[in-house]
Amino acid sequence: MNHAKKAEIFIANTERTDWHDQALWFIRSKRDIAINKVAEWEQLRDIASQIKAHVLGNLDNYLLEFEKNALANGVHIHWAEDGEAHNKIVHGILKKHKITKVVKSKSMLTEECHLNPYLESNGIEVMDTDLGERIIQMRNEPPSHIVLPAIHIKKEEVGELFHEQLNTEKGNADPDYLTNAARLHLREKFLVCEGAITGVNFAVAETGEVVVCTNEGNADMGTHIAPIQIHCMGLEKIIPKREHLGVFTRVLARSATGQAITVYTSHHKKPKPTGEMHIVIVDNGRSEKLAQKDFYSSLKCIRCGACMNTCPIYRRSGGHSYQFTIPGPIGSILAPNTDLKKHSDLPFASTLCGSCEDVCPVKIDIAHQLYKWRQVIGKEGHLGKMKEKSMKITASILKNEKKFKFYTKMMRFSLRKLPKSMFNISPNKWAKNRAMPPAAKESFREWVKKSGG
Amino acid sequence: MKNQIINRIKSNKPENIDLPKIPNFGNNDSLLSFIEASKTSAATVVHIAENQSIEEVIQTHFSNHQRIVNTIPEIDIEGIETKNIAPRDIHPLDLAIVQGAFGVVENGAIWVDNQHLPHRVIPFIAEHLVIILDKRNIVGDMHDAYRRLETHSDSDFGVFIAGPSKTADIEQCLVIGAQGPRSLLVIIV
Repeated sequence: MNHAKKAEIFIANTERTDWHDQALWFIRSKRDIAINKVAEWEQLRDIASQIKAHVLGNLDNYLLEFEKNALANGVHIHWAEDGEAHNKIVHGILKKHKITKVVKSKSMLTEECHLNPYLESNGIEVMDTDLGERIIQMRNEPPSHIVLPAIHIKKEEVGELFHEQLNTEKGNADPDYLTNAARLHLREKFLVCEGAITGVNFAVAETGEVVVCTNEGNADMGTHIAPIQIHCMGLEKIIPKREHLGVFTRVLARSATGQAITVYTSHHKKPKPTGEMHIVIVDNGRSEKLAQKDFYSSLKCIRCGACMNTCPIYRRSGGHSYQFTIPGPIGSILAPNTDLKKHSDLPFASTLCGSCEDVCPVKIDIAHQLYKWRQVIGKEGHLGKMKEKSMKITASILKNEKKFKFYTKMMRFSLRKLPKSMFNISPNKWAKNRAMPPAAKESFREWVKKSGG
Repeated sequence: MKNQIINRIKSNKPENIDLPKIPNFGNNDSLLSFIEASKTSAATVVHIAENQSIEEVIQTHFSNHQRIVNTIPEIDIEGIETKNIAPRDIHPLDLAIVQGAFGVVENGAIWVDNQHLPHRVIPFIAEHLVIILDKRNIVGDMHDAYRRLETHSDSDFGVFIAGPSKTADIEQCLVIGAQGPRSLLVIIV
């Protein structure tokens, strides 16, 4: 089932679609309020984008510098070619220490690598500890948003779920009550965990440290209690120096949720006196992507989710309709790189309105890349027969002035004179869920001519 | 593995672009603005009066707390000994008192690092957290904060803390007290 089909199912429930749309727009609005308090906001976006561009042009050197400094800090460094290698490395560390219970904080990378099912199939209990992540783990679902994994779920559904699995009162859907129930449940897990796994927001080459940002404090509860802490990072997470954290910590939370900063911005440099610290650096297609002139800048992404919150398509189709680890506009330009045929629908899940580019804190040209992926998909023959044919017909009209004038005139005439029932029918996709608009009497060109412009 | 990845990056990487300079934005570093920002992050802030002691302030806010970890020797509040116990055995902890190095006006965050912490988990595992902050140690923005850290002695673990732990994962409703402390009291001395 492609994105459009999934979206169709999603929007069948109008009330729920509106609720989802509003929830995300609320976050976009909070973001606007937050950035308007920072006079140098646009300058920060420029600087953030340039730092990331510089890093990608020197990635090999910075990775080696990071490794050298992290090793000197007493940290174990592992390199993983792909998701499978990553999973094996993490499992290897846990197995060596005979660990059977791990707590995890949010990490899109481990989602990308499918770490949880891998560890579970090897007999390890994996507990997601971010509240949203825990909710979707209980529901056996993937996240529908990279910052707000359970944004698609209503509190009554959480209440029902917690009643079944955590024995909370039936019918109680109060967020305070439910959050506290999760807190008590997760506290038990933290207190017995032997290993803790986190993602990484930033890895600083100069110091060999990793920085992890959370609001709940779950990543810190795990890493500071478990004897073994493991941080998993995509190799693009590197930044050169600590001073660059000054830029990224200013733009990340404001873009993500409209907070001035996350509650916790933790800098892990050396292992605990009685613990071990591991960092797994994962490639999984990223180094190949660097060679793609039109698309490599998507590696600048800091995973704030702002492009999702603002996207009119995402808000009205939900994260699961994308069927890729990272949904929304950024996911739609990352996915084709992993499997062009399978994800050929995603670059079309956009109006190309460009709002994603306007909010992106590292200024990735997302809408332009969506457009460029469409060209690639067309050339590779993944458009589908219908779309290919209608595109060819449209192109033949658009590039011929006479044909264009003739057909548009005919369209205007038909829309005005022929009975509505001829247009507002199912084969006409433009008339789905809405009536065709009344057509103007004259074309823009005719109007200009007449008014003497 | 590492060499393959590094070599692939070498041959695929785009052209170098120079690192941009980060200007000094000269953001406001007033104590009053810091207090405002802290409150926005849901912290309670008490600016200590001359005839008031830190102990008094803490006792007024937390009167009947049983298990306390006090990491500041100058504060006369008795807490449990944490030297020879595992981090997990600190639980249950009602209250932790820790030293903040400096605060950041733009977001109300306070730097806390392991130099003053017998266990890194202390500011996270406590039900309630108290951070003591010297009113002279306030910087304007995060650029100033990292500049400040350059002169600060090196730490193995450090964290910016902005308010008590929170979540909005259930229908975007803000709930204070997720996995970490349920409240944060900042005492400015």
